[in-house]
Amino acid sequence: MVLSWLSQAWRKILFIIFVCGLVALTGCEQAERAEKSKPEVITPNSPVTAEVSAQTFQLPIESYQLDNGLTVILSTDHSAPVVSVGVFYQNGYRTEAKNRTGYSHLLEHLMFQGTSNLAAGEYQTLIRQTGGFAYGETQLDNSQFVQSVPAHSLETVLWAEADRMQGLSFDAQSLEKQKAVIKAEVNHRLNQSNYGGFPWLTMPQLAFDNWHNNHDFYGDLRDIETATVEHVSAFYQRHYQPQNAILVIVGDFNLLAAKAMIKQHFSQIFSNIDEQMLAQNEKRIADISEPKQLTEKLATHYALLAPNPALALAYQMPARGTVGFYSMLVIDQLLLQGHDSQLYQALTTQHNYKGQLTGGVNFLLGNSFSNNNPMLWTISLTYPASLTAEDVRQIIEQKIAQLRNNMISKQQLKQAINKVKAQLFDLLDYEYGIGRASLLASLEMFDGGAAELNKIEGYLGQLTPELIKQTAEQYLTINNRSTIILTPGDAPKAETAND
Amino acid sequence: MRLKQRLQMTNVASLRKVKNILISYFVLLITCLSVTATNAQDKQQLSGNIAQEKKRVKPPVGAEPDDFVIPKLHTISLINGLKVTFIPFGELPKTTIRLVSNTGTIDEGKTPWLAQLSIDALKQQIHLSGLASGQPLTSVEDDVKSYVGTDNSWLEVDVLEEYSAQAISLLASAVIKPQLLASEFTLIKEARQRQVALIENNLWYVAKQALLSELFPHHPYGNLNLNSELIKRVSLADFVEFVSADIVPGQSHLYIAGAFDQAKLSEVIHQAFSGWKLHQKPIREKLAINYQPRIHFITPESVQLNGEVQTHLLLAKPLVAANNDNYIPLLVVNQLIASRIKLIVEQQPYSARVENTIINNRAISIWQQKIDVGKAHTGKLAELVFNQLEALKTQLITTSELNEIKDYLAGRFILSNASRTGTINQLSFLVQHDLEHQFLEQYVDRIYRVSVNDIQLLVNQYFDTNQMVVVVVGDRAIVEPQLKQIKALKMAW
Repeated sequence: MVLSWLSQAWRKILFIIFVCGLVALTGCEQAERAEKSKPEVITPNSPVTAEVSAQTFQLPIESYQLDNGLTVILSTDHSAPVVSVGVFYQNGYRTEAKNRTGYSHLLEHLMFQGTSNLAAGEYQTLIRQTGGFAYGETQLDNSQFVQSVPAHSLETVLWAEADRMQGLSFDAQSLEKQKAVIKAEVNHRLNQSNYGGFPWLTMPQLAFDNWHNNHDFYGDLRDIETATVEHVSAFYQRHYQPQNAILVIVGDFNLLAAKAMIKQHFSQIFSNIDEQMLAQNEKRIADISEPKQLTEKLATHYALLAPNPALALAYQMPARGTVGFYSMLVIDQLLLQGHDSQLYQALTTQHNYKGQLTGGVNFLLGNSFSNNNPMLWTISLTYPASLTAEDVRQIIEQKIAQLRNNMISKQQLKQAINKVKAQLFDLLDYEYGIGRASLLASLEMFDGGAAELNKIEGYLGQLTPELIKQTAEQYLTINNRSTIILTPGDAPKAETAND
Repeated sequence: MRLKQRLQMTNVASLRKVKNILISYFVLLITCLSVTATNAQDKQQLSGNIAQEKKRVKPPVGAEPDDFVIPKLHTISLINGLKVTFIPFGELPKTTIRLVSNTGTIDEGKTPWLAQLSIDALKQQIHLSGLASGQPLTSVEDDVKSYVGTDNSWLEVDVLEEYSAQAISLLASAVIKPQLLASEFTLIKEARQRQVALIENNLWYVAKQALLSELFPHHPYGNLNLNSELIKRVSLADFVEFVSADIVPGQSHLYIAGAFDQAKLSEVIHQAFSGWKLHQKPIREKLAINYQPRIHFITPESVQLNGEVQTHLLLAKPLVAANNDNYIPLLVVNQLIASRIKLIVEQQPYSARVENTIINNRAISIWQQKIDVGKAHTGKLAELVFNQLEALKTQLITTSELNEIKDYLAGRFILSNASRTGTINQLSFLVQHDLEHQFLEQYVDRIYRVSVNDIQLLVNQYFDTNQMVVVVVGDRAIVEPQLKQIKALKMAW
């Protein structure tokens, strides 16, 4: 009896313990679930996510790879019978090795100087005869060769691009000629223009610490002067390969027909990279990572031909693909772009400013999307001698401080986002399809895929006044700032001696 | 016989030996060749993509171009005479709105710069109204674009589709009620004065002014008014009067290109422009072409002072109006001349820059050739250019050369229609020159119909070197004796 009572009591106790345990367990699970369902805190450094409802367009984008490693991106647009073709090689000013500076620029010129099938200058003539145009451009992280032609000339262009991916034909004489052309170009842009390399060449040299990011992007002219056919051939062999290239076609074409043409003209190009040689010499991909800036940087430059003093301020940008990056595009519009921008208004209405206020993300080094990290957001302006650099810097800092300390209104945010969108559409429209081709290639190279293009509006839709404020607090700080004060005239003798 | 047989046998054996040797040799040769080939392949791989010597492959010619099709247009007319054309174009939510008016420097009367300053002022009025509304139209600094020509002028905004209605209203308000603060108008005049001051002494502008004065004496086409002082004379009242009298609905055309809701915008347009009163504009007198072919010399002070070494040469010849049947074939001739002259320049040991243009005034188009060359070579190069024109009169060009020119022009035409603004340009060209849509639809076909014989006939008919106006800006003492040596120019002295 006693035993049976005990056992009954034990059974009850055990049951109660079991139920309590179950309740406790369920409670824990619920708490855990609640914890999990709590919205994640989004900061400027969070990866951006797309607000689908904010997307107003979807462009057709298809990408694939050939067996030889060539990435192909196709985006049709049947608005007009025109196609734009771009080949983007993933090497540029800041991926070059120390003793090969300026080589990408040199190759940009040599790509038009002939192959075994086209003599020097015939590439341009071929494209011109279609009624279209072609040009090459060296950027920080890639070298691009682009053209727009009537749609019926697509195959001619694909053949010609494949032809110069297959091989170039230049000799010592044509190399020397292009060296001279580059020297003249550099001299004209740097020594014969009012402001020289200010601030597009000079600012990265001040703002960044990594040599890849802070050397003169035109390169050390001695590297160019001493370049031999063998050096340049080796450089071409290493970088101008299908697996290092992205081919983009935008415009009025038939997808199947285009794919067949690509297969016909590009698939037989095999990489000739000697991997062993690569491993022995240098890494294929240069390390362009940049340490976080901890203190303000300041420099004073002099320009003999400058009619007015000038000032440039630059801030290191948040990384691509983050909320902060897209917030900076909005801040750029709010503060800097257009006559309605806060800086323009402050300078003109309060200070009767009549100078030139410009700047932006990757200022004069491509568009907001065309470069890899690290990037700069730059404000650049000339000002009358009646103001001092410090006056101007104060005016700018006041406006930036407002952004750090106060939240912008939702209406201001909407307006600035509209301006970012307008700028994006202008880029997509640029030179028929060249702008779109360039953007698709950039997104493929740096953001994980060309299809990101269809999410950009959605990313902008995720932004809030709070995130704009947080981005300003985190990135538009004095410690993250670099300043160049440009003074007209010759450098004072003492400073020249120090240089 | 045995001997013979033996001999034969020996011969057979020898032959077999020889055969074996030959076989061995060939095997060896093939082996060697294959090794060499493998080595060559390896070498090619080692030496990278640098192309090996081989037979040149010709590029594929591409497909046949499709017929040119004008986008599906829809044109409406308002009661006050304003015409509106909707042009659906592209995939992006962007709209270009351009108001083109059949007015320009030709209507300035005795107030030079009135047309330009009026358009500048309207531009500023639209910009300020946009700012005041709290919703500026676009991101670009220069949010309203404009153009002022001899016969037509326009204002344009390029906006996100959602702002298209607002942009139309702002445009309408400005042209219906032109108004600007006197201080704003003064700023506009000062800005324009600064721009003109920068170019008024530019030798190319000086040459252009001389050329136009020769071609169109006593006509507004003939005057660039490159004098910044003249700008000061234009008043705010002049601006208001010019807009009211010359930018009128019956002489204007509104183009909407890109993405839009046509029904919604039609309503907006009717409302916004309904207050624009019908205003009869006097019909202009037809321009009589009356010029004297001659050589006009200008020796600028800068030449005398610091020994300017370059010569700027302008050659010009009036052709036909754009609605003449010969206009499109003459574009082919112009391109041929341009290509020949470019080639001549490339073959010279000295450097020179050349550029040729067709200037399309409403009444007449003008062929113009620019040459920029060192004074020592001026005569030689001019002679080569004139000789080339003479040669085209007597020698037939090859079909392949002509076909290259045609392909280029047909391709360029396709590109020039391939944007919102490009399509508007083409359509407003039709209006300006009283042309039908057929002009655009048949353009490529008419280019391709030009024959080598047509070229010869047209050069003979329109490029008489004795009927040209030549302007020379440079060191006359050096250049004149050189030019006097040119046979083709003797009639003009």
